[in-house]
Amino acid sequence: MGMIRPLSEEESLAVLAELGWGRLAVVSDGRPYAVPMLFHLAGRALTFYTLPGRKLQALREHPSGVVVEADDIDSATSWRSVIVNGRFEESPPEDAARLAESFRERKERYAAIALEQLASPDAIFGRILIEQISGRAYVSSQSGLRE
Amino acid sequence: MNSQDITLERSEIFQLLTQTKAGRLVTLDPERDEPYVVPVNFVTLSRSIYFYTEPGRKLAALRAHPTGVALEIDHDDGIGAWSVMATGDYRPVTSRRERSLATAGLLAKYRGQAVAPMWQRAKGRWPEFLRALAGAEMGAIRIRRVSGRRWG
Repeated sequence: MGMIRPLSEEESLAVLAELGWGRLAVVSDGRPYAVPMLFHLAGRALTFYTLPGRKLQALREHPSGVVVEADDIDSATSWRSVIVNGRFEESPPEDAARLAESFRERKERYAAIALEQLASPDAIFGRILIEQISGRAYVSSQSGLRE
Repeated sequence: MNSQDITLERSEIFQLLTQTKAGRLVTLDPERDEPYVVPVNFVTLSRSIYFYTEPGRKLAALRAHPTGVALEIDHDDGIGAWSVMATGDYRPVTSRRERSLATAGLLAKYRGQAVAPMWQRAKGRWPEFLRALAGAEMGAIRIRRVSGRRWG
């Protein structure tokens, strides 16, 4: 039998750095809207790219109340979950090179697609500045918190 | 390398909603003008998504903003990634029959782990566990709209 325990800020940031994949949730037309996103943790910000569409429109209309959720759920007794509350800002093109670098290191097929997309002239680069971060993990009494 | 961005068929979306274990409930924060996101264990039965919620921020959010609640599921298996969002209105399940069916569905899907936090707090004692289960709200989202994409 294990237990659920809160993660410290450092642990939560480490989970974000490791996963690099989560869901961006924004308010769009007064309704919640969530889409998966690849990101790179840079200091206390998540850098990402997007193409013009509903997500970007919602971020521009509602930059101050953005949530990012990232989790790693194998089963009900093996999971970690992190929630970020933050603020969106468009970022300078310098972020693009670092983001591309972080995608190149990833093995997921999606990262290869992302590399193609962020090279597109339509790609917009952004940051979610982390204002609040919290995390929880299920700790098994046998194995302890997975690293 | 050419990438593909495919819109998923409705039947495929419902299959994913039935098979996928972890989902994220996306609603509006009860106190701030921003989204509220939390992972949930859920079961999809006849076009409704069922899950347990204990008193707390999730339940407060659902009660404050019951319309247009979303469940998001996604997966990246190394070959490709997909994402599905199902949207509908939240309602507490009050029918005993519906609650029993959904509880059975949850227990079958997760082999009991769907209610792990309650089981854990009851420290494996059945009377306490059953009390916790009875005290939690069983909620449902009647699916009104689904969308899904696959990249790969």
